[in-house]
Amino acid sequence: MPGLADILLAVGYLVGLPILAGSAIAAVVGWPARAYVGALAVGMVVVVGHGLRVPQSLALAGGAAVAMGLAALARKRRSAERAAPLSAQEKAVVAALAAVLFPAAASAALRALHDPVLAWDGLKIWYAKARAAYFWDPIALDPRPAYPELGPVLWMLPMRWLGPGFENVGRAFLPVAYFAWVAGLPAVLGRPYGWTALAAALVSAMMAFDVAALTNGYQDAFVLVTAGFATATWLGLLLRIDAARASGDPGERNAASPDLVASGDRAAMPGPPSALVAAGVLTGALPMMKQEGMVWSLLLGGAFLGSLFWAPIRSWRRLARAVLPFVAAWVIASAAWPLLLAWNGIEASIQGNAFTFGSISRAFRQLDRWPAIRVYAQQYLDGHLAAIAACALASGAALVFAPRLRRALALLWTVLLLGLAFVVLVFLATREDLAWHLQTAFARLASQADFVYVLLAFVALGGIGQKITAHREKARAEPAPSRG
Amino acid sequence: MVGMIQGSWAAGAVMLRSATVRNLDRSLLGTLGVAAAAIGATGLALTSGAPRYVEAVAALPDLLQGLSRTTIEDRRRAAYGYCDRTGYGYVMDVLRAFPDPGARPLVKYRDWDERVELLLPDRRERVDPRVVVGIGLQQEDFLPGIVGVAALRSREHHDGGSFERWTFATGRDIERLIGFAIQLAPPPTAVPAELHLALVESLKSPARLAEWTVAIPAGQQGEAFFPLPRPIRNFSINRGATDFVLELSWSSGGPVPAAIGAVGSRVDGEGFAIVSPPGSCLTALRSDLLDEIRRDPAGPWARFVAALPHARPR
Repeated sequence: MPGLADILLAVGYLVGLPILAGSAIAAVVGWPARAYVGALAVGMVVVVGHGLRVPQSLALAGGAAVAMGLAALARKRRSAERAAPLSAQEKAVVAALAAVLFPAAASAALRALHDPVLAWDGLKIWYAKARAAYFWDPIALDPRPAYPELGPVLWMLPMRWLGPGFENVGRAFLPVAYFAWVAGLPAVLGRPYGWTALAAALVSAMMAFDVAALTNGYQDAFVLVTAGFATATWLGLLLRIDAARASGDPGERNAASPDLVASGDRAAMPGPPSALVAAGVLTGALPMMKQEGMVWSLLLGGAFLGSLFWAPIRSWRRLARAVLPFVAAWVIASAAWPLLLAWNGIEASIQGNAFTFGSISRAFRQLDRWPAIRVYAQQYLDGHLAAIAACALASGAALVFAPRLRRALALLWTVLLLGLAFVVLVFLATREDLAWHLQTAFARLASQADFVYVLLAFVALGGIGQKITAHREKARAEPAPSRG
Repeated sequence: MVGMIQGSWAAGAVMLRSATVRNLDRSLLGTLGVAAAAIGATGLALTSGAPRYVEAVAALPDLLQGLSRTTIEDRRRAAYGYCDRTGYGYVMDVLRAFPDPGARPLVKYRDWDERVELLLPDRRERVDPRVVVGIGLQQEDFLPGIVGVAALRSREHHDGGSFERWTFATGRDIERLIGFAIQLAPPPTAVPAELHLALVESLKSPARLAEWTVAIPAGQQGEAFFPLPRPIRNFSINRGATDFVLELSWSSGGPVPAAIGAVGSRVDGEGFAIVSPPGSCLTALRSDLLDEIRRDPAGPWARFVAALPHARPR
């Protein structure tokens, strides 16, 4: 029987988040990211409450307060953003994108509702954690206490209202989140939303779409979606900086100073801190999803901060002040799960004794494992050949045609290569039986990087389309040359 | 596929038409190159993702039909199995008359633990070890038999005798190991001899699980069973394919093993009796609980036994 805290949370979750999303839709840019950040924030509050062993009702009420608070904040900001409503064409673009994506999103969500959780780790590790969170068992009692539980907690929330037999409802969250992410892709390239951005989003949207991975209870797709949201958020900021620089914006004087992030962002977002905080929360949430999420968090956060050094920094003080919202949110969110483990006296080693920081050096003494790993690397490349070729071709074309995308594309390729290198490193270092570990984990771990293909294809193709549109409009505006 | 290629060409053509030399400050060759690359990229991206989109959309009618015609409990029973997979259906039926609402039986499987307790709608934290439910298990899984056939890995001869290392894996969880059946090579020993046996954890881990010496009478030949001093319980649980090691040594003139088999039972069923009707799964009760039922034939445990489900075929 749901209690008061459950009802409060239901109100917060089911009313607050749509308000948050709705307000963000009015603000045009990045609405799916905001709703997603809101959902993650609710889950993170409950995870922290669970880790700190506060009563469940208090943690759930805290989640409700966060959802309602964010919704109120979004509504307050909305009034400041009325200057940028959607044009008729932009509304049509958004509606068309939603209409095309909806059938696949509905199918994936219905698959989650239809099929009970059955996959091995999905059931025995992750659903077990969701159930333990439902019954509010201390995290130290879990058979795998170091495995993060943000996904299981979000899985558990609908069970609070419907009962533990309805675990399927919570699993519908992830496919919906995937489509919210790809539906928000046009925001990466900024306003106005044109048909070329729509076409690029549609072409890219399905590149990482995997119904089974999104619905079987494994958490790798959760990492993929969140890393996708995080990267899309800060990539949008960087592209706006580059656009401002390319157009001779006065901000160019400050070259890559991140206060340009703020000025570029201010044109389209409710305020620079909110976008930077959202990027920080999304990047920092990754370690709360899977243990390798910490590596993704460091990689993505490092890529964003590193990209700001693309051009000379004129004022380190301003740089530090400008990125402070991102860094603060990123560090706090990233540190939350390791701190909770320490507080509960749980060893935070990665994969038990299979992969520790000390084992990284061991990886280099075990390079003779490469032939075994290469078989799986080859299978990965075979399966991703079309995606890699598409991204390479599109990137090449974009580098020639839309040079302002250089930084974004270079960053994405770097993230992809480093992410995949990390996967190889895991298997060079693992203490588990190599054949078993490769068979059960290689494809799953590598799949976490698939969000990069979506972003690469979208940014490159969308950027080319945007450039063509800009040229056409410029040509239309220019008077026809006289014939004498 | 043809549609995708046509679509990508159409998209490329639109881009090409838009990117006229007049509109772009690029050379014609460069524009054509960019357009071709964009066309190729679009086509490849569609090749990569469109089939999954089509497959997902095509599944919609079946999913809607399934959701409208079945309940979540119907689908859980179908997915989790009755006497197979997790045994959810059988366990739910057993629990229907289970006298202790806060407890559940000890559930055992043919291969490995499927953790059916995670699937139960209510929480039953305590395990009543007096009641064993076997999913996919039969009467013979309670009885001893050969659970692993050993292979000779190394042999050393020296003046004083011989040393051999054999390895074996059980392949599935074996709860109770009681000894080894050893086929002795002819000719039979002329005088009484001793065979020293040591069971080692694995090739990587030298921990000795048991050591014992057996006396071989003169003239012994053929297969003989050599019981462990004490059966090893929970012998190979969640072990996978990792080999155990059996080290044998004997003095000169002693018996020479030709084949070795590990003897044990899948289920440690000592003191249990199966009370459910035969089928692909079973319920067994410990002797103390059976005594309790005999003392109180109208009590809750007697009613529980009477209500046990007939195990269905898988």
